[in-house]
Amino acid sequence: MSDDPFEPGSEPARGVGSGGTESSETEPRPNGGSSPPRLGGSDRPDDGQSLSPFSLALEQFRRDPALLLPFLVAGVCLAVLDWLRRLDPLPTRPAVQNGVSITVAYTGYPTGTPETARALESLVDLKLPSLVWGIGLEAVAVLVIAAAGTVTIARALPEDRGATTGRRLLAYGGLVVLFDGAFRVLASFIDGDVGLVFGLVLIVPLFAVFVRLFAAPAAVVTGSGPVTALRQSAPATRGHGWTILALVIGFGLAAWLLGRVPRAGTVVSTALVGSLHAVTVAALWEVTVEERARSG
Amino acid sequence: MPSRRQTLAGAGLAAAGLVVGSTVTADRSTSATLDWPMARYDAAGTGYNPEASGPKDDPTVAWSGELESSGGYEIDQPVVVDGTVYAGNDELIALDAATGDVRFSYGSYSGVSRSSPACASTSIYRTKTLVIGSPGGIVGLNAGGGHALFGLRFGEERWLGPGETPNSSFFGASEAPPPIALDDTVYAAVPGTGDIVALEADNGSERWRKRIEYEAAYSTTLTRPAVRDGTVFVTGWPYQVRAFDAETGEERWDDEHDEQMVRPPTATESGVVVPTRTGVTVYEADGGDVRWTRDLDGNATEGAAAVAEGRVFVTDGTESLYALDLETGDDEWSVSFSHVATPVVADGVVYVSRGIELVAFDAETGEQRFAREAERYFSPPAVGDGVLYVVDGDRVLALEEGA
Repeated sequence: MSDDPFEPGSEPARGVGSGGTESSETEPRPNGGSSPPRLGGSDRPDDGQSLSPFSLALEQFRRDPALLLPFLVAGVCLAVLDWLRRLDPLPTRPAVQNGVSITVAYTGYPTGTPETARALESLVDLKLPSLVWGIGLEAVAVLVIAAAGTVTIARALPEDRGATTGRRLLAYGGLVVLFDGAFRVLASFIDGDVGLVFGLVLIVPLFAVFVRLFAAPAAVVTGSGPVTALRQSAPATRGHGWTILALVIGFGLAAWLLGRVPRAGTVVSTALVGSLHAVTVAALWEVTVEERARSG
Repeated sequence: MPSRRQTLAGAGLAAAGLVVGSTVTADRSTSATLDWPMARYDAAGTGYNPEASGPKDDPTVAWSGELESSGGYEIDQPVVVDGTVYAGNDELIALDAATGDVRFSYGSYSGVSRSSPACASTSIYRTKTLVIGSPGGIVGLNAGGGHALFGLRFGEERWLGPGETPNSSFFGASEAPPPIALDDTVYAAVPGTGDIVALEADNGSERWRKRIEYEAAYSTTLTRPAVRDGTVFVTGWPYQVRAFDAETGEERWDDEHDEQMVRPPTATESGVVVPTRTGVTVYEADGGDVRWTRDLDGNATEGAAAVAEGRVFVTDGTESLYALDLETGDDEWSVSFSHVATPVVADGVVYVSRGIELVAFDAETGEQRFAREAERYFSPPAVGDGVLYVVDGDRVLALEEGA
């Protein structure tokens, strides 16, 4: 059986994007012949076995627990934003609908599950001071998650690849906005009860897209723009479809479950799921870089 | 399935949409007209605007606006806010009060069994908020309708308040009673529950919530509340009459009426008018003592009373429309009227719809001024400045005095 449910019989990609528009900096590059992937600039022993990105991420955490810090700080910031949203007079709604039996809270980029959210629709026709406040609060949320994601992934990647620069931080923020924009447009179409059959019809391509775009945050941190990163992610994930699908569902379920922890849900889910997701994305990126190097 | 609520805002997208929105809103003009901001006109539910007037003798159609569907036999009363008439059956539509031109429709609520809207003022928005009761909950809508982006309406819903989807029945979901708005507070029966709630009009958050309890095995079905002088009056099937502090929700008094089926209350300076299946009871607003009760030998299951200039106008559901003295309950006059209905009053005229016919009576004498037949079925009317707004099946009509 192929390791890719969305591309049966696929082979590891040999190129990235289309039209050859990416700069050499953004190309996934080999890191040294046929050695196993190295993360965070330190080589791990070559045991001759191929580890999954998730296993590599866990190993990375064991070596460098400080990787938890950025998303821990981000979780605290998001908790403060939750508090501010409840305090201000603008409409607020639960980030995850109450009463549902189970939710895969996956958004396409490393983050946690905040307790509150604010619909864009509720910002329409606000008076200027309230509008500035409302947009400012959401912009801070994007920046916080973008900063945590950029710093964590950059730290998890080898030094010659990942870096935290203003441009990459901005690009990461753009990626978050793209994901959120797509979510909101999709939500406007499927608002309400879509039914089982239509729901399944929606879920399959949605998860296929999630799988293909899984590596996009790492592409951004290695220097790509947000749109280029989305294009680069698709070939970078080929051959790992089942693994990534399991990760998407696992991260989504974990974010939802941890988000339900009373009072600390935002911090716990962001610190744990956000961190693990980010480092796993970095690990996958390195694995695919290595595979491409091997395949010439 | 990823959560649809699991979303952080995209600031760029938001800014683009909101800037476009600002431009569109600035261009939207409003014509001067009198408001009829909620079902039965005001928070007290009097159905009487002392400033308003409608046609008295020979109404003609000033304009006719098209609706998406013809509705059934229970058509919601239209409301009028800032030169816009909000009406509709399956879909809530906003029409220009001067011309009848459709300004926009709230497409997201197509097919939803919802109540008449109530208009609330807000401190944070540039446009007012319309609040409706729907089977899924109480919803705050942008009275400006939001904005059209790429053919889709954006920004029509502001908040989703409390509510539970009621159990489905053979007859479909029952319609939620209309909320009422007073300044920046919304009072409403929570759909699917026996709860009365006070909400912030800005964001739909709860200020207080109280459950009207009946025997444990049964749930109370609440009607449209009424508010006056800091007290919220609530009635519910089968016997419940309650009064709550509007600010805190603290219960002030309660009564179990002798008659099963209490109808929606009307709050007045001389007490709370509660029509029942067979008659009318007026309670003291302060302590809940009964001031007077009239047995009209009726059989009405719906319809509220209008109160204007010291008179209570109420139907008994079988034979008559009554004008009763608010202080004593004595008959002022009565006329033959065999339907359940909620009258409205303006400029000395009582307007009452009996479905296939809209009838006007002199409020002083009960003399019939005119009767106009419906093409399909009339809603209760709303009254503006010389104009009567009424839904007739799939049309909204503006009726004015004939030449």
